[in-house]
Amino acid sequence: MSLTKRYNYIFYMGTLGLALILKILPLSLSTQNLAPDWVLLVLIYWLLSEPHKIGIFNAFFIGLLVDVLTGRLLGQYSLGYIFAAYLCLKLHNRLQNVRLAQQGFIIFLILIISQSILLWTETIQHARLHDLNFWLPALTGALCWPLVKYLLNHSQRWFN
Amino acid sequence: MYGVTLIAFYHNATEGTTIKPLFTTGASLNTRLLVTVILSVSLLITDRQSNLLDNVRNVISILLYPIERLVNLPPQLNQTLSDSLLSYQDVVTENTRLKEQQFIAQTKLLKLAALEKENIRLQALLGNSFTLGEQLLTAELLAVNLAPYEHTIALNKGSRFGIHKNQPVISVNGVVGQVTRSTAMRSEVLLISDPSHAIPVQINRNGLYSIAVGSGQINQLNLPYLPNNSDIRPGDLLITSGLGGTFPQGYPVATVTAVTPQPDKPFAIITATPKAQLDRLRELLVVWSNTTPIPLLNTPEPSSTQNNEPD
Repeated sequence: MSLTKRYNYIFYMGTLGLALILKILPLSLSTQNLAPDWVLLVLIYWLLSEPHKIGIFNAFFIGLLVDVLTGRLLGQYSLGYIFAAYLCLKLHNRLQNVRLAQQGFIIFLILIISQSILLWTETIQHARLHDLNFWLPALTGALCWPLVKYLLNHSQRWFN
Repeated sequence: MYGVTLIAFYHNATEGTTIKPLFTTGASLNTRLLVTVILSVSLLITDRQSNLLDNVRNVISILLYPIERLVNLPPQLNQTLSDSLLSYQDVVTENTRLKEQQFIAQTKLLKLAALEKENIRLQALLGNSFTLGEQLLTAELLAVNLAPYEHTIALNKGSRFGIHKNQPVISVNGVVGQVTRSTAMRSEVLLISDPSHAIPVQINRNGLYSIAVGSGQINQLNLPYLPNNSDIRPGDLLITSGLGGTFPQGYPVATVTAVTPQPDKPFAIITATPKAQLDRLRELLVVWSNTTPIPLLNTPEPSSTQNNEPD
């Protein structure tokens, strides 16, 4: 009896591709800030689900992809994603064994840290005033985390 | 019994609540973090200071090209569908309207050749020298959202068409922005309404020079460098002055909406609305300009034939 391999590379690329598409999906000016960073959420899901296959180097490369996709300097999103990945892997056991609400809160903190790194790399380049709307994606990301987790869990079972 | 515990263990493992350690050595995670952090920071510094990484960016952007096209597909399909499903009557009406517009525009252009020649003659009299001529390339907006905190748009043509950095981009109504980066398949354009963009302008009525800085709102520019008693009033048309060399002279930028003098400060609060509808862009033009850029600094040479900055 063989273990059904939960990890399917095509499914991984597919979810990442979908997340990349969602990241640059055009939204109206008023709702632009509400969209969470789907790529980071999907990345966190995969880090928690397959920590031995997806690691910090994967986070780095996905960050590079997002950098080129959104027209940032190479390394902006990478820096944020590798810290998010490091924290996810460090807190992996804790994250897997707590209730969804606490998991959401920890992920909220991880998203805030990743946003702060993005803010730091952005303010180094341009003297631009970022208002509170800049932090909204972290909040909505944490709120969308149960949705992402549920969807990816179930579609993975369906896919396999 | 053994089978049950084995299945239980497998069940636990597939649920993720595994009891085996994540990494055999904890330091492995830290070294990976260190290596990637160093890599990221060096990439950041290299990308900011030089263009050595442009090839890397080009390769990655070609990989991501299908994703951009996929995101752009629904609006594009929508447009193609609405274009091809017009009634015959609508097409006839639009055709007549466009023909009339074209007729009027061409009549206005009749005088342009004469005016251009006269302009060159007059400039030569003043001791200036410049050549005329701009080339335009049409490009379409890619319906993608790059960064919500930045006013940037993406065009569907890139360096394959010769588009390079710092090229002006205009729409039929006015100046839109300048190209900040161009990869093989797309270019990124910074809009004039972005706070980090400043465009040298001239009031069309009296030739007064100033700079229009983006405000962060899509339909507002600020002119923060005009003193309280400047000759500017609401309704004035601002055009590009050509100073700085990026934008060629004469393109409409914005209309002044409000002038509020500040008695306690040296400069007045002046706002303007961009002439181009920056939130409703579709077709844009990238400009290649042959005009000799007007230098910003006064070169104190008596026999200079270059344009001196008028005061």
